[in-house]
Amino acid sequence: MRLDLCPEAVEVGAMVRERIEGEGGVDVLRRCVADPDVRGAVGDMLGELGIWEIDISEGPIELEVAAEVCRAAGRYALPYPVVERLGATGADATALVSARGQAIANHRDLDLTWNALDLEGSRYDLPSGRRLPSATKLAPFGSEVDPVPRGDKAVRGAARLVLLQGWWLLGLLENAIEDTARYTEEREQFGRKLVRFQSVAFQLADMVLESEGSSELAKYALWSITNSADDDDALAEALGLRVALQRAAGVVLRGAHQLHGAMGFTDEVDVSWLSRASQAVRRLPEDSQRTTGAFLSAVERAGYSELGHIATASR
Amino acid sequence: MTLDYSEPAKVTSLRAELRMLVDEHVPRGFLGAFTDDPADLAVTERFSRELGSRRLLTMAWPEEFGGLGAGVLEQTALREEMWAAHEPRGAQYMGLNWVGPVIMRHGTEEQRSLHLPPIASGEVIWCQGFSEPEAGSDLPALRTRATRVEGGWRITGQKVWTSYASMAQWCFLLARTGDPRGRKDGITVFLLDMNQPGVEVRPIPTMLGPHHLNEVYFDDAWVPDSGVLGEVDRGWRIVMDVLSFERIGIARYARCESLLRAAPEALGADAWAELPSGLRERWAAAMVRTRQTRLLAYRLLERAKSGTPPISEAALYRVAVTTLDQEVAEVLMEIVGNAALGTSDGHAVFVREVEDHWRYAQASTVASGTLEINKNTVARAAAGS
Repeated sequence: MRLDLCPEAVEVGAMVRERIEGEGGVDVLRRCVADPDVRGAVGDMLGELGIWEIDISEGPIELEVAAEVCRAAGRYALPYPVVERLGATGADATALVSARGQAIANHRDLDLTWNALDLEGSRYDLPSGRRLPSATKLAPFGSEVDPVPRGDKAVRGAARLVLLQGWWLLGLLENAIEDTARYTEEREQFGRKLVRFQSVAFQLADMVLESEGSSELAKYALWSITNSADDDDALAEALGLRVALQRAAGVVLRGAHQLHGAMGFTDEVDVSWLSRASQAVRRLPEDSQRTTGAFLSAVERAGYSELGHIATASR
Repeated sequence: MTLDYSEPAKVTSLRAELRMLVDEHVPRGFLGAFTDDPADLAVTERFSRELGSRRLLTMAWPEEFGGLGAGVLEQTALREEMWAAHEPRGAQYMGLNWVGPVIMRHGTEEQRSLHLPPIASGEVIWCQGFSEPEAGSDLPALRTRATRVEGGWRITGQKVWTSYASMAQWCFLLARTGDPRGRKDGITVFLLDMNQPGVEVRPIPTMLGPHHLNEVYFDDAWVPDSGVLGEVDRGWRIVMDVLSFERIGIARYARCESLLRAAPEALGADAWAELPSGLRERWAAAMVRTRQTRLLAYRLLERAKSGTPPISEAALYRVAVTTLDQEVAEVLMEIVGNAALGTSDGHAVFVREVEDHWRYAQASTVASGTLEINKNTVARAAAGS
């Protein structure tokens, strides 16, 4: 049993983090919200690091590397379709869309070739996308799309895409917790550090539990999806991860706001931006309730394999 | 080297062997040793002897002490399989999981040869004399007094919430030998024979079942010098060892998982389909939660291989597994519905398991360090405080 990512993944993840930090971290998001047209430069920056040469179909090392890149990007809510490009099947970028005809996909307005998958793995063409004229603060890069069903499936592709989206969200939550934990240690009220108040400590502990539990599950799901010979099994595992991360996002980001007090809503602190940026990823293609429904269907159809027991044979 | 979670073949075959032994020796509907039916206690005694004869009871112990020197994954599989089957080893797990290992680590040759063989063969039950009326979560406040006399010690005081004391032959006892205000200094560990006039056990009736919790009164109880474990006044170091063993201890998630997995079949396809979809979704989400908790347990065990993991890691796992126990209990209770309150079907095994699990789960966030203590530990570590 090996519970650590391969050194290549750790190394590339650290490199991407360092580069984004060098560009200002969450300031990249602030800049792109002010001027969405500069998002292309974010893609170029990652291109300089060789990120677009990663091909996740090549094997477990590549998928682990891609996962760490997504985690690093999510850490700063990097305003670029990193998940969609690294998880792409048959286009530059593959979006996750709702089978119910939902009409928003992040970043579809960018000049790339696009297609889409839903949570059951059905494939769609995604012929065009234009920026939402009424985009709210929760989806500054949302595009209106009109997915056209192709009539075939790419279940494994959907599993990988949902997996990478999970790693992106994990990175975002980890950053929010680190900021919040630091704040509760620095900020004093009534002559005591915030973390010394039990109600604060309990909420922080709940947040840590969500993120640590999600982190372990994200690694397991990655291994399972890489090695399982059964596409339905892989998809169930990916959806289970998304169920966990949607719950985690609720606990972590609500706590991050609350424990930062009024500061948590300001544009000055990062958690305020991370919270906003998380919304489109938490709600697209489906929100928590509907994702849990999709997971239930997958489990009732394909089962939920016992830990460490996946349907044999490395792919 | 990439991630690898595949279960080694020898662990899978160990699980198969244990499941076969449970099928063979544990009657269907068994809910543990601590019921009103003395036959259940007898089941655990027989089962423990069976495991003892296969050296599976002490599988985790080093070979020099009669064990098999099994790896962490095999030990984990054993704990999981046993807890999923309502712990048919009965009260043995305490002796096996930490009393034995702590005696190996801190005991004299005489203590090892006196205590380890009967623990290994499943013939002896231990209880843990830690908590007192004025020393619960604040364990260093304990007041039970040990006074040195010729050849040994006289013990006077009271312990409370002591599991298995009514059936235990030995007590792993903490008593104060030094300054009463000394907190963690001046505490000594004694290995005390429960069968003596100075020891009185009074069962505490609880919702967890008979025999489970007790008060223990010591009135000039006797321990010879040879019953002191480790150094006089310096028992706290041993306590920390014990607590780290105990916090990994029970694989509570394993029973959560086995009950969740059994639910659809136990209910029957039609009844399952008629459940509100929101309840089935909670069931599915609980399966994910269980998987996360089990993975946290594995991470803790992995870190324990290369030395004692930080106390915050153990605390995080405890928060995860104890709250899981209660969350799963609530979902299962709603799945079986009113039947949990009583049913005319005497064969409704699954319903009885769920009801038993719910009652037992209520104590999980209190036993072995409360949820509040553990959450404080986690938060302070996260804040670097």
